[in-house]
Amino acid sequence: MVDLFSVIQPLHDALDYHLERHNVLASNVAHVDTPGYVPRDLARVEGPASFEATLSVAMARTHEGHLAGAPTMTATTGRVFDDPSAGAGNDKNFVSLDREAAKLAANQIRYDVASTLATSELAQLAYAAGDARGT
Amino acid sequence: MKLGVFSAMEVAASGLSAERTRMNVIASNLANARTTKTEGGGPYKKLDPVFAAVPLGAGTTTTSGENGVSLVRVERIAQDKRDPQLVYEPGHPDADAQGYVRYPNVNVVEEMVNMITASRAYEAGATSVESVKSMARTALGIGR
Repeated sequence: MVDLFSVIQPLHDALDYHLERHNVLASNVAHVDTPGYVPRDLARVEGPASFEATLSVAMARTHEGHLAGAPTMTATTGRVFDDPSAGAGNDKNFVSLDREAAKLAANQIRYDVASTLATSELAQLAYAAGDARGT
Repeated sequence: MKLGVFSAMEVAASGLSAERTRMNVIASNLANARTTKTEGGGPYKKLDPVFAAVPLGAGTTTTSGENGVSLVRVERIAQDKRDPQLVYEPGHPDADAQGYVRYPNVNVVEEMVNMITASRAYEAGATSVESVKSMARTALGIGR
């Protein structure tokens, strides 16, 4: 049987990833004048399987009495990497404000896309749950 | 490289960055319009940024430039080759034996024109970013 919310889950992951990436990019903008700073970006990582391979941040349980540690948010959604492709200024700062702004804008639109899809998906479920009587 | 939805944004951002560099260079030229001493000796020389087109996606695994779209990169900042202006000022510490001072080859009017061009080009780039965004949002509204 198909899970009611199976369509929502990938969208949930996408929203998480884009929110996370927004934070990373915002931090680059904050460091626009920090000498020697190299801007970071977040690459999308597919599913939890490859997460184990790329980055293991989840706490290991060394004793049965330990609580299971929850992996951090970053771990499940993406991998942080340095992005020095914009070139450095005299202070060896690699941040290009315009580039970061463009990335932020594109990322925000992607977030909106995922959010719109999730909204319409949930609206369909609500419609069905309400015996199709409308809202 | 296949053009993505947000390629235009990347291209526009590279243009904005380049124009920002041009603005820095113009500010330097204007600030040093009367500078007679430099590290290399002689008066300050007017600087010009040289822009180069870099095919979008160059350096990635796909063959570059097949879509004809290019980013802007500031290749180098070159010195203007024109001669310095000679001004007769015998009292100036940097005057030569004939009483002439060598002032930078900066033409303030020319710099002002360049400055207007740079800021208009920046505005054009920002407008194209806005327009890409509004296209994406319009696409999002299809079927609503």
